Amino acid sequence: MFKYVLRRLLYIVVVFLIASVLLFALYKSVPGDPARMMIEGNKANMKPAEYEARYQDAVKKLGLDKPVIVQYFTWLYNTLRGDFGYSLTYKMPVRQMIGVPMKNTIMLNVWSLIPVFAITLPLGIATAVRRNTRFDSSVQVITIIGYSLPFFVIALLFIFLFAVKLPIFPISGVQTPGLKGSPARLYLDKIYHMALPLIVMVFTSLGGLTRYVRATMIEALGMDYIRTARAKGLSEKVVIYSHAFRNALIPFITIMTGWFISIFSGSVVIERTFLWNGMGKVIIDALNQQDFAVSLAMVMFYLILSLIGNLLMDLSYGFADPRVKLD
Amino acid sequence: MNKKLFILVLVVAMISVGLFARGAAEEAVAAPKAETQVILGSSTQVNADFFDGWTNSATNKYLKDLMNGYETVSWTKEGRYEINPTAIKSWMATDNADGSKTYLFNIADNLVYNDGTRILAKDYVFAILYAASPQAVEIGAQYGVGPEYVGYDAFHSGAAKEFAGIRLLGDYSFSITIDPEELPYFFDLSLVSVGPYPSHVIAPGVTVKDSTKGAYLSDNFTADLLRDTILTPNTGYRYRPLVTSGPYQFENFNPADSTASVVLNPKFLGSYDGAKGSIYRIIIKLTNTATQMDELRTGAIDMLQGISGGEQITRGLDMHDEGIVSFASYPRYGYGKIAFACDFGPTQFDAVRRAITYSLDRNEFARLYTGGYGIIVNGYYGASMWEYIENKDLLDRELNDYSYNLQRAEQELINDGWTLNKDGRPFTKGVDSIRYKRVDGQLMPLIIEWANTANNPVSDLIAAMLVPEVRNIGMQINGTTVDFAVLLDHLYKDGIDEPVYGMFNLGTGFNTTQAYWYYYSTDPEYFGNYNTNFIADAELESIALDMKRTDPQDLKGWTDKWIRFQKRWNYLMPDIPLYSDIYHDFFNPRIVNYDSSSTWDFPYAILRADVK
Repeated sequence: MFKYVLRRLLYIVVVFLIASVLLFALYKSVPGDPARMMIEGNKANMKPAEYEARYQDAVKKLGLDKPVIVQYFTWLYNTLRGDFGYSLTYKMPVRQMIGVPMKNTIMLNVWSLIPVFAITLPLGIATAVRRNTRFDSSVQVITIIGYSLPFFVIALLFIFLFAVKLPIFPISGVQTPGLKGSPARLYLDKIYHMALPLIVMVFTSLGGLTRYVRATMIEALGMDYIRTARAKGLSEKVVIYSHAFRNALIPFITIMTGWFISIFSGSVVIERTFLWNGMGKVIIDALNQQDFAVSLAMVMFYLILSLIGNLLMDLSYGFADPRVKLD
Repeated sequence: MNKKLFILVLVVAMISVGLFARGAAEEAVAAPKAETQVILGSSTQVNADFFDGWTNSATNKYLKDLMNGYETVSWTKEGRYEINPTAIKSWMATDNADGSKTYLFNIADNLVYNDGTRILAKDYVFAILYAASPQAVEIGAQYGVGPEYVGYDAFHSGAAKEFAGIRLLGDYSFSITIDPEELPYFFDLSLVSVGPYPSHVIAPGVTVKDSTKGAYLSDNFTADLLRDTILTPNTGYRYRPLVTSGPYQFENFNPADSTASVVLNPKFLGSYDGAKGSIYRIIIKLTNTATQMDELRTGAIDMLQGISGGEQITRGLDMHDEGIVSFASYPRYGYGKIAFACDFGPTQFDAVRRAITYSLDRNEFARLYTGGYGIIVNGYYGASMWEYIENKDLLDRELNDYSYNLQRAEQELINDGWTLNKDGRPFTKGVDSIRYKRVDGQLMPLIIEWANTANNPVSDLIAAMLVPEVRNIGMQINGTTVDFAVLLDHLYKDGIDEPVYGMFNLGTGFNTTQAYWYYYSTDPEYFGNYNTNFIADAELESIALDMKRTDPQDLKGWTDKWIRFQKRWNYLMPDIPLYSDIYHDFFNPRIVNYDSSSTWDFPYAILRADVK
């Protein structure tokens, strides 16, 4: 087990280095002049000599005056030290500007996990157990709607219904502008603002997960050991939750890993529609504005997260199913 | 199971409380009584910068403008620069023997910051010295202050400790000397517009001194000191400018949803016209275009500013008809355009540029693009410029409006020598498809490479309305969709050895002190970043330089030259102005006396508005 983990960690380091070279090369090959972008806004009526001097300052500050290979190693060294570079858009260190969006994204995603799993797990199990009943068919129809409609359509529809026609929730934002009060009141206001994006996230997630749980449970319930368990006279509850569900967990763990990573990554559509200042919005804005220090840092972060997530997933298989040996 | 679920919810709640509680507690302050407030919705995100020198977000600038006051020279509603009588008790301009010009200002002795600290002349001098200092460059700040003043280069580079053109003459007196190279200059008052910076906050312990060589800062003015006072995350002056001089003072910035607010500064004495502001709190909140009108309808925001596009404006006007909103409208201070490279290929010939202009039905183009809420202009101006407003009839009469006319377009080409076919024989309409002209002994085809950007409705309209039309006059336009950064590289010819594109489409905006003489200079030093057309027309440049040299008091002289400039530009057509939007500001009817324009935007208008 220890050797396995060590080997996988080494593998993570190698993949990280290869990916860092590829990604850095990719970003360097994108057209555009970051130094010009950095000073463009201050150009108005600046004399050419002054503009040129500032341009050269920007080139130096961004390290663009050095050979690409030097730029790469400087960037890698800084990244490993936790210095992710300088955001051209925000004019501040990347580490300083991503803190708040990261918090917002984590909050929204962690909160969404509870209703998503609290609904989909029992619903998926129930539909599998009552397969081909009217209940099962009804759930299938409802979940396929949430599954097949695009995110932004559902988001706009819910805004229209629950924020404009029935003004129950705010249309967008994280907090009521200008609100004053105790920390508890401010926190509740944030929860209130989070409600509608959360509802949309849950609604759109129901379809896929419920159907996935249903499918894995149906497969597990058809196994011989389930028949044996029932023949032994075990209660239906024990058969379903202790025998069938545990065996249905392995494919479910794969899904869980994706969710683990998505806690940090945010949803571009949800965040842009509800103006929830999270990582999805930050990354897409960074790409649109060619703020490569931000997008490169975040891509590398998600790369590490994916590699660690995969390692955890493999380790979890061992815990969920004793037959899986990690050597 | 229920117990486990409860514990899970509790854990998640604790995590999220942990994530947010700190920020929330910091923001929980007692609310002042009897508040009026206006929430401006903006699709441009407010960022953490509330001090000049870093980002240039338009919405942040609104708040910065509201927090800064007592400038020596103010921008007026009429579009002019005037000495600010609230801040300046007396002043004097002296033309020096060496061609430089010195402005001496005596400031009022009753000015204070919002913290009650008296504002002295040293604060004005500090503002200039700080912004021009090498220490400011060292901390990554970028300012446009000072290059026009005597002694800037030596001070800025660190070669001289003193800034020769700046003098601190007493507690309430200082002077600024403009470099002779910059003079005479019609907008010279704009060059000496400077406001005070709270030196006791930005550089505590630093003293502003003066000698015969100029003003200077004490030796303890260092980049490390500025990093500490300005750049410290969350508390530095860049992020929380708690001591300011303007009608409003910083209240809060919530990075969680990019919302910022300012509140009235009770110690503010007034702007140049005495305006102090009456709305207690102004908040700027992020909105998106898909739902911003709904936010206005539901009262989540009170105002949307600078709305363009037929769909959004129509929704706003419908709400106005229902009595939900009031509105103000005004033309944009700029336009969307086709820009030509005037230094190579067919577009180097002004006749070709005129022919292309005649081939496009610009009225229909503007109508389609702006949904009927746009106009077209025929020169290098915005319809909000006072020069245009005061001379509208004359300009509309005397400038060629290039009404859609393929015969005229064709005639322009024939007159310019585009009369051959690919074999050098006379071009025959209906037989030959592309005209040629003999240039330097070689046949040049009338083929224009056009760089455009993806997902751009302007590009789509050009492709539909112009490209097929020019085929009828023996011209071919080849469109290539490129990334905007690539388009700019080719427009500026930045790192481009062999120019490819002769035509681009993009937008442009004007400054209140538009430097016509930079943008149409024939000096190659200005080509690219300024003269993006690479046009070298001696007559156009000569008029522009003549404009620059106009006596600041000679408005008529300036106007006459400005009209001459527009006529020449209208003949040369380095750009084709395609549309100039009519912007709309929609706001809650409880906001009254809100009178905005392109040059009198939100900070100016809201300062003079009231809430019923």
